[in-house]
Amino acid sequence: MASNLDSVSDTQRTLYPYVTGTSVVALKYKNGILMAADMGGSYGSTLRYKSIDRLKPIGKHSLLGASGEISDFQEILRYLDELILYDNMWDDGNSLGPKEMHNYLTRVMYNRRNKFNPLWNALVLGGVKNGQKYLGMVNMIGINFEDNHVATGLGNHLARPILRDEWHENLTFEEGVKLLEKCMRVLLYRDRSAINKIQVCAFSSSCLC
Amino acid sequence: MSSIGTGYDLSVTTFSPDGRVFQIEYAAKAVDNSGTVIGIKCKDGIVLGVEKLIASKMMLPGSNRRIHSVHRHSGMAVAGLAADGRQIVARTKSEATNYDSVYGEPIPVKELAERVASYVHLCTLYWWLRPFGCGVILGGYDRDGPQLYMVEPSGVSYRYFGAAIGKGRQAAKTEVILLSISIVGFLLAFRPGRLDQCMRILSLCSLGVWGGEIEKLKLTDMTCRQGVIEVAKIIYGVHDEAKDKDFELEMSWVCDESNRQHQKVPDELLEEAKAAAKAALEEMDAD
Repeated sequence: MASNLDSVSDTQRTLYPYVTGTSVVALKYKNGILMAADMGGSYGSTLRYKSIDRLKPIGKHSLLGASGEISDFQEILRYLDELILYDNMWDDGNSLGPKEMHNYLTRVMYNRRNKFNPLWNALVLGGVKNGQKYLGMVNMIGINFEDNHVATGLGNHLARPILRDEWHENLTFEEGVKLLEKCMRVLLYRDRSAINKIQVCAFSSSCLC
Repeated sequence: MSSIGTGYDLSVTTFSPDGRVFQIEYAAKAVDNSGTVIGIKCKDGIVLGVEKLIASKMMLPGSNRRIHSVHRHSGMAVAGLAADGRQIVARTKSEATNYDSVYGEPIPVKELAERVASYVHLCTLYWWLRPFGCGVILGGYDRDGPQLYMVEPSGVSYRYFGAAIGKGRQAAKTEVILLSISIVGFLLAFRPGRLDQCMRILSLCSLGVWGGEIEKLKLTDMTCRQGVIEVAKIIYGVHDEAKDKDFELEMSWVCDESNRQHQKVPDELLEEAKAAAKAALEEMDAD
């Protein structure tokens, strides 16, 4: 790409992440989605921020969890905010569901990667619409997939093996939370950038809690 | 009031000898020919109502929306040329989202009205553009409470507690004034030459049709729930059965009850309002 040589576009490329969040773990349970993340923001090797909200509800049907660069996550939230606003302004009884949001995010992440200016995040998008549960993941190079349980970062190596063994269809809310806590405990033991303050979010067809 | 501006009405950049710009006045006539649009400011919010004249029996009910949300906290009802209206709504949405992304808060309604008015006015300044053939009633709820603005094709925008544009605006404004000023005599003093209007007002008073006893009705004390019923009654009242075809009533509100979000009036309340309006009409016809 010619822009590699162009000094002007160089200054616009993301080269390294600065304030980062660590793993997000999520699974489908009987009534919806459960998602957990700790509330830490690391500045390199320093655990600098201890109250960062890394799980956010989006619109009426979805939950977004992010790891990676926090400022890029905030930018993504701004894009989504505008998307949801325009969706609401139609006022036609329809609204964007988790599948649509996941697709939108995939397009955004992949296109940014192709311009060599990625949003340095791995995102977990889960939700319920019309009784249908959905859980997906997309990362900074645009890899995306949908599964019954997902994780980002070190969670992929530490949490997912636990989930592969112990996850089953029809987990109750309590069982799901216990399973997530187990994963988060292992991550706290083994992940240098994890802190001991976690946030667990549930999204079921009846409410967002 | 209307005169032919022979020769001085060909361009929006031409003044007539008596200081009028005829093209703008002609644009206002396009608004006058459209179905009535009403907005009122109640104690806890704004109610907008539109008399949507149905052009064809084959149209689906609920289509051809005349009231649009322009941001979470504000909405706009359009009267006049529909395509021009769509353009204004698009521009307003864009102004509102732009303000939000720059300043981090929802655009104050006053600011939004000024921007819409500037945009409409812009199109009256150049000979290669024509004025918008639509008027707009903009209602929103911000930090300073609920506010109602009206923007005309000339680009003027004023703040109102009650506004009406379109075919039945004179009759509607009278109703709205009645709702807010309890003294009818005040009105008679203002309209000494318009006996027909005074008679109508008197007859309405004596029938006590609109919302019970008019003397008791005040916009400052009315909640939006009550306001919705009143707006429906007014629109049904000003609809001219003889001249116009069927119409569909479209209403929206921004109020404390709707969590300060602009949205369509909930279906059950809309049905209640329509029923009350039809009942009020029958009462009036019976007399």
